[in-house]
Amino acid sequence: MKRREEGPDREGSGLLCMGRLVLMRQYLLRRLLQAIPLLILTSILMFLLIHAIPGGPDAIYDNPNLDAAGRAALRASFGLNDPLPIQYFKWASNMLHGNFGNSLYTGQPVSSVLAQRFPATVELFLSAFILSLLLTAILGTLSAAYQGKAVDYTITTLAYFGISMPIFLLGLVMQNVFASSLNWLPPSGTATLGYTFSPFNALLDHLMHLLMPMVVLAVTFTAGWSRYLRTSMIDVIRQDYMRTGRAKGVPPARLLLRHALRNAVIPLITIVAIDFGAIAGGAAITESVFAWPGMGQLFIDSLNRRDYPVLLTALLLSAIFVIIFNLLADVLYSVMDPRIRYS
Amino acid sequence: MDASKQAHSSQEDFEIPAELTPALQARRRSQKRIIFDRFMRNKVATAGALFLLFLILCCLFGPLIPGHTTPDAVGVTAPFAGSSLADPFGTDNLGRDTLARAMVGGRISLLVALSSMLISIVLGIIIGAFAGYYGGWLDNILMRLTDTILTIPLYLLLFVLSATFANGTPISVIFLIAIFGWTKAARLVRGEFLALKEREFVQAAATIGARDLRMMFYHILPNAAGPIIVNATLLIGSNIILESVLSFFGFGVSIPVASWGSMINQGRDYFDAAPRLLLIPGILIFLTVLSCNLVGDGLRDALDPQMTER
Amino acid sequence: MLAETHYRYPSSKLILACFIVLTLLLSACTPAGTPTSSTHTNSGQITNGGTWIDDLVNEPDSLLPNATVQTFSQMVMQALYAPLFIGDSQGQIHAGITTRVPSVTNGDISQDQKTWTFHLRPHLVWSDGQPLNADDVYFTWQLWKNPLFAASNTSVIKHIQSAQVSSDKLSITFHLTNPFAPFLTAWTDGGFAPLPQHHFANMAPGNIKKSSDNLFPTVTSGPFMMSESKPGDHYTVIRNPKYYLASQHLPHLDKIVFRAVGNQATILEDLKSGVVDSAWFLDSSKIPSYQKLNNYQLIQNTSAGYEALHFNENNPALKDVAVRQAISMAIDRSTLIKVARLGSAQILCTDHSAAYQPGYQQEAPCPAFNIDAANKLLDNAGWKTGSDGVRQKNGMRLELKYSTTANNAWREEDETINQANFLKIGVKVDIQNYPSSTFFSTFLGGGKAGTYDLAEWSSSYNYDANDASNFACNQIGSSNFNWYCNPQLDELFTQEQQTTDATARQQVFNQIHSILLKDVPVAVMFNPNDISIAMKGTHNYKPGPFVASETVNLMDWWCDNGTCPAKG
Repeated sequence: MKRREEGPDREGSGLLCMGRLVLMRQYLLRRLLQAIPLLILTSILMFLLIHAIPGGPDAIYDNPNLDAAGRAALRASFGLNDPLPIQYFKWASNMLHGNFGNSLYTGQPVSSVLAQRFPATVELFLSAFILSLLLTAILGTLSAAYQGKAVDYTITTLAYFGISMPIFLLGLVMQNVFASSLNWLPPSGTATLGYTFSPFNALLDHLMHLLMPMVVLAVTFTAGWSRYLRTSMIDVIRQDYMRTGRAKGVPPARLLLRHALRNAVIPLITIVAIDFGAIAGGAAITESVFAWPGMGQLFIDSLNRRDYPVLLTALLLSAIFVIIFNLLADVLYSVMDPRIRYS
Repeated sequence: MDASKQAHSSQEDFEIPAELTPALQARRRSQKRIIFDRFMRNKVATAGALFLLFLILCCLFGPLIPGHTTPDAVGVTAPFAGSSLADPFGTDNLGRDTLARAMVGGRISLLVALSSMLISIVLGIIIGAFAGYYGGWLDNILMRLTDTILTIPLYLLLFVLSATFANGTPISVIFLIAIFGWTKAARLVRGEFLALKEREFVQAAATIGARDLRMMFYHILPNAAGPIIVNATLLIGSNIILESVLSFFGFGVSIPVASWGSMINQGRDYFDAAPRLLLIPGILIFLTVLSCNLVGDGLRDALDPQMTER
Repeated sequence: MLAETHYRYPSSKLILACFIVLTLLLSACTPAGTPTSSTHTNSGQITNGGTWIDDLVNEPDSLLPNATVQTFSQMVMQALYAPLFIGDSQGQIHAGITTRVPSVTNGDISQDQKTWTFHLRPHLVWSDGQPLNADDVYFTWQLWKNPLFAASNTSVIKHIQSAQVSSDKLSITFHLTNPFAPFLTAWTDGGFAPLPQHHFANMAPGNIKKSSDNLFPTVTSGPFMMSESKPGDHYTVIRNPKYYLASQHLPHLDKIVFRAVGNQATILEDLKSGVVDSAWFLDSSKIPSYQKLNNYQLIQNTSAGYEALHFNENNPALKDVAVRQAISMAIDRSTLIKVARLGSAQILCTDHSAAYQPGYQQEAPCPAFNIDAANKLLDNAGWKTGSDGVRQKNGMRLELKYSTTANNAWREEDETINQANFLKIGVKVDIQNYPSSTFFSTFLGGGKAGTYDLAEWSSSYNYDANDASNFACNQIGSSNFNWYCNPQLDELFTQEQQTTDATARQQVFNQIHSILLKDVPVAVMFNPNDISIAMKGTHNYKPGPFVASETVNLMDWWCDNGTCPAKG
């Protein structure tokens, strides 16, 4: 009976889908075009900001033995003698050509410096992100399902704990407890050095190193998101179709996970997208506490070294990623919620 | 929200008595009173508010307690002295009174958090109000600016700015933090303005010839107060965390001035030998932020006319 | 009303799944791995083999000789390059790939001390099998003096007028413009070793530091060669079978992993977890924590540095010698050593610690800590205390900026202690610190009074006590950051540079010290110890005071049974 009902409907929705796809493509294109001025503004802002730092790019020449001629040669080779707007246009066109300049600290091309750090950050970022989403789904759903009960209160308390805890404090305390005192987990780095492992054990060893920074980074965001999910879940549970579902005898778990969660997640997407920038900042702090060799740690080191090419590129890259993720969130939003109109 | 909830709420909070006897008249509550009562019914939020009050009193008057008046005096007792009756929090690496430093540090931390909150809320209200009220190109420009700042990861941008402009004085840290805080408030206010400017009372005010500024800040703004207050409370919490993060990386208030953040920065070096030097300011930050979050959420619930039960 | 309607969902399954994931992750606690080791023999006997893990406090910026001023880079380079001369833990210079240390007696230094000849060992090869000879030394000199290469130290090689390579390419003779006793310091340790001509000759000098060789040198000569270079994480070096001492079973270790940790707190966590074999340049404020580590041996060495308060004489108030003397008298040196350094420093009031022989003058008198005398001195010099407690004279106020390198726990303690004491003599100081890269370049180099008034840092000289760089008039703004000039001192510097005779030089240094103690261009506070730590079961870990410091003898390091104790 069910199948007969769904048959014609499906065809109709298929046609609708085609139309939606075209609309969606236009919508995406427009969103992309909107992102470009945003990007340009962001890059100008950052370029100006970093050049306003006291000491300027000269601060990097901490070599008192370099004579005036050597300094001039170095300045010329880094293109630091031009007026600021020219420097910006040179820099921007270089960026577009994938040439990000050379690190003032190690002299290496910025692209290779960042490429070396990129995988570690992506790994930490993604694993923490996925863990965070998983935990959010579990905790948010449980909290909403047991609203007002002990489970809910426990989760809410934990969430407040997570929101109010400065991330570095959590990192330091966990490092001290789980690594130095209990000796369960490695304190820092990405792998146990000086050992040869079988591929499986190497992976295991790596995961052990990842565990603490991942959890620390995930906690803050899980806490905030699960609160949101709880609220929107409670709203969804109260909707009529949920009542209908229950009346029709859909198993409660199925109803909660398949229908309620799916709909409750939609408003969460926006919140998650807004938080991408904050995750990048949190990653920097976590990486620095656990000596995780990613871009965040590189960023903080580069700031102390006043390594402008690296700083600029890292900042711009993270901004680009925030924009991309926000675009993705928009797409996801529209996919998840058919009511969205592409206007 | 479904209709049943609204019906429910009006039943509970806006009960209309059959006849207005003087006794009933006295029992009728003003709107502020209603909100206050609702807030007080939330035990956790009330506890948070009381804790904040207690903390502020401690930080204001604590440093006047005899025996704890010299937070910066070096070598009052031996370095790393444990807690005693005279010094309940013990002393730090230089033999300074940790209790006195925690209270004076709280002053600075709260000052930084509150002032930067005020600045960013004012900025946010102005920007959001203009964008929402006038719309058009002004709205476009202001919102692009907001988007741009929201695009750059907050912490990273903050580090760069602190390396650029901060000189270790509390004022520089206040302005640094305030520069970012306004984006959320601006969006919020803009949204409220967009919704409110279409409402009848605004139209009415316009007909009797109210000028733009009077319209914006006298007629519309008070109606958007609820969400702004909630945002402000939550902002205090996040500002305290920001201050501590800045200090953690050495960009905060410079020594020897105590703030909770700078105490954490110094305590971190002795975490192993004397964990309390890091944990005391850490826990104070945690509790303060927690209270701010509880009060903020409590206020949100109390101010929400749709809200009835939790 | 709706809140009451809730359903029992089988959440137990969700919780269970969640726990399983976590348990799986946690169960991976001890992945089984085999330590990289080779031949196993009895302990007590030197055994080859093993992987040694060392924490670096700072990230190396370059692994090319004379391309960096960073000690941590020079430490790694000691593993990668075989220098002409090599230091030891006592700070003495020995022959490296040369056959002997030049002296006037053996004829390698001319009587006028202007001609120096280095004799290289025969049959030396680079790690790629190409011959290593005097041509490489000549090329290296040419490269270092090229401003495009931006060598970190040109103060010695700028005395070279010309050089000749012998026909057998086994010796090179340098002709100096003037007699210069500390000439060998330009060629001592891996950080100042020759570079391979055949590898770099075709590269533009300005591009060498930008090439991938900068952090992954492919052609090297030292006991080890690069096997892995992961900036921000670790650098792995493995045994170089073509090392010139390979026939003497050197180096003993198979592999050294240098971890770039960059943070004292993380290093302490590493030590507590026992994951590293050694670490150097540790933080004196954590000494009690280090002492609690039973599986490690804490080592304190006399360093070559002098920690001092530097006066910027661009500030007219600091031009007054009475002010400098009074501030120096208000420094409570014993409290600084006791509280800030936790005892890990030696009393020192000249710029030469006991690491300099010649140079160190044991009996040089320290100014006594005396607040009253300092106050009296300032009173007599006409500095009157104002209503705010700050001394003034002719419109000048003794309110000064005090700076040092940021995020340094014990230096911040120094600042706080000094600040309290200076206030007692009517000198108000405001503290503002800078990250070290800014501090040592624009901040000091700018020399702007009002921004830089008092600055605290530690200085040292490489393998020789010649201190012209820090006090000579012609070094003002480049390495003399006191803006202090005394022609009498310049004359003495020339004297000590002209003779290689230790006794004669010591006499000149004593005269220099007495002038410095009288004029107080810097108020030396103490000689901080180098604090390092090595795990029990490791041997021959003997850091030295100069250049390669921690790793000065790393080819001699070995571990019990050819397996190093750290769990990695």
